[in-house]
Amino acid sequence: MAASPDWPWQSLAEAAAAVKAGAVSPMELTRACLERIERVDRVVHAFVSVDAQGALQDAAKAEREIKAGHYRGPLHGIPIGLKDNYDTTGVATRNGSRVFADRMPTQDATTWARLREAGAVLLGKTTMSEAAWGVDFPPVRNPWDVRRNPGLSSGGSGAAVAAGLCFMAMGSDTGGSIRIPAGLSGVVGLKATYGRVSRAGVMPHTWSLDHAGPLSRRVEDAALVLAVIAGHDPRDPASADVPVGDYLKDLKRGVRRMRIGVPREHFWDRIEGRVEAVVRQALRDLEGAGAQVKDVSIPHMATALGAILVTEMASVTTWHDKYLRQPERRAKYTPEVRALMDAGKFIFATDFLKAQRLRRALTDQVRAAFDGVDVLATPTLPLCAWDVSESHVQIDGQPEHVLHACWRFTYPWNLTGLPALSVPCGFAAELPVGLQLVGRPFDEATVLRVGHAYQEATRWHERRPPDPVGQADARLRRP
Amino acid sequence: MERERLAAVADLAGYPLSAADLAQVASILAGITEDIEKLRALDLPDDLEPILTFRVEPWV
Repeated sequence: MAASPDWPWQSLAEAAAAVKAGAVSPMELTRACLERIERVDRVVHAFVSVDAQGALQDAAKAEREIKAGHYRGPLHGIPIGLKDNYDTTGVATRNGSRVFADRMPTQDATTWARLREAGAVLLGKTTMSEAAWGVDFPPVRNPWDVRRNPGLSSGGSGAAVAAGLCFMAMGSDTGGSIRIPAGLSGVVGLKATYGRVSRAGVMPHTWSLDHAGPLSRRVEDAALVLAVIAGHDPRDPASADVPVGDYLKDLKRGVRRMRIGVPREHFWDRIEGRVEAVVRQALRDLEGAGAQVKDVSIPHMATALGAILVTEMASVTTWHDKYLRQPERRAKYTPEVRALMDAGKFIFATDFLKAQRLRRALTDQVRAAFDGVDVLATPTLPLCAWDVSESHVQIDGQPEHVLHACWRFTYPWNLTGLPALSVPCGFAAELPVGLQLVGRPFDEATVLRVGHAYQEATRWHERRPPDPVGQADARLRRP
Repeated sequence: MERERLAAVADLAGYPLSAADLAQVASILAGITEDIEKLRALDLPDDLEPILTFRVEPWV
């Protein structure tokens, strides 16, 4: 069977089934993705590096193994991307930064090692913000509107999946950086429970907030990937030695009689009306599928932003401090990121400790909110993708910095470490909107089940963005 | 925060910065002060200890 230009648009689950059945080969899938990258990524900039030769070699190896009867599972022969902060032996891992331009890892990130062992084919590294904090270079474009931002800092991974350049891409999430690009780019993003997926070999940003996870087109794809990457890792001191569930067993059981809690506080303040309308409809759709939706209360949500700000700023600066002290390296940070890191030196220890007290109080309140509900549901973001030239947006009549606005609804789940999933739930002015589902610790299975049921009840995930090259011709060259 | 006041704090803390860097740092700190003030103003129970090593455990 020839490599159809449609293959890169299939879900990972569909591609895996076709590979297993011999309807398509890993080489055909890989070639189809590489051809699409060649054509489209000069506009989208989702990949910072592509190793076509290595990918084709790995695809050929997978093909030989499968033909010989050694099928490893659903990831076998599937082309994927990795964010540029995942260590890959012999392939540069630059953390989106000139400071690490010549960094060549000698050991794979545990997640990549597990994906590789499962037979995944690495196409290349996806573009990320500098040190997961600054601006993208080159600037990643949102496939739905190439004038707009696809979300930080795993924007390359989100854009790669949304543009049909790969079947899945790994991202990392400190305050929302898997779910934000998922929401803005119309794909699925999963941040599992803190400790569920190893962070070993993923360059640190904020030790107590960092999560690794997949961006994909379907919730089922995220479940397939999680089944491979979840589990205890002695290389990660925060890795949880908690049994890994079967994420596929109950995935298709639906949401009848499931209880969905909607927080009253925080998530409906300062949100674009068009976004709120789409998310409210998604909640009605879940009710229509048989779920019960009820309000819950988490008062500390309203004041938790300061807690993540001081935790993140102090932690990032501490990790980068030895580089900031070396004049040659210091000069390689962009002024914006260097200033953020310098500002972290002026976070007081008293504020840092108060933040860690608030995390405990917030977790207690969230736990109480879960009494009587199976998952929580919120919007993923209060806004849609913004123009790449904009630093501020108007929400509810108030100006707000885009970086401040975009993580307001996602960071609470980094502070608490709970599993959170963003699922495409509709469009506002032709731009994607995300629904965020949050679960109890290590209950990724329920979150995935609700997300899958939502995708079964709707068809938003089947939409494809307009051709980015055609958009660029029409939009970016306009005088 | 005024740059001159921050410069004095930076010198005292052992983090001397150029005038240009201080200006950027001052701007960032000014932008987050309101959120940090809210954190400081929170009245938390006296017996609430900080989480010093963040780990997530299953809820039983």
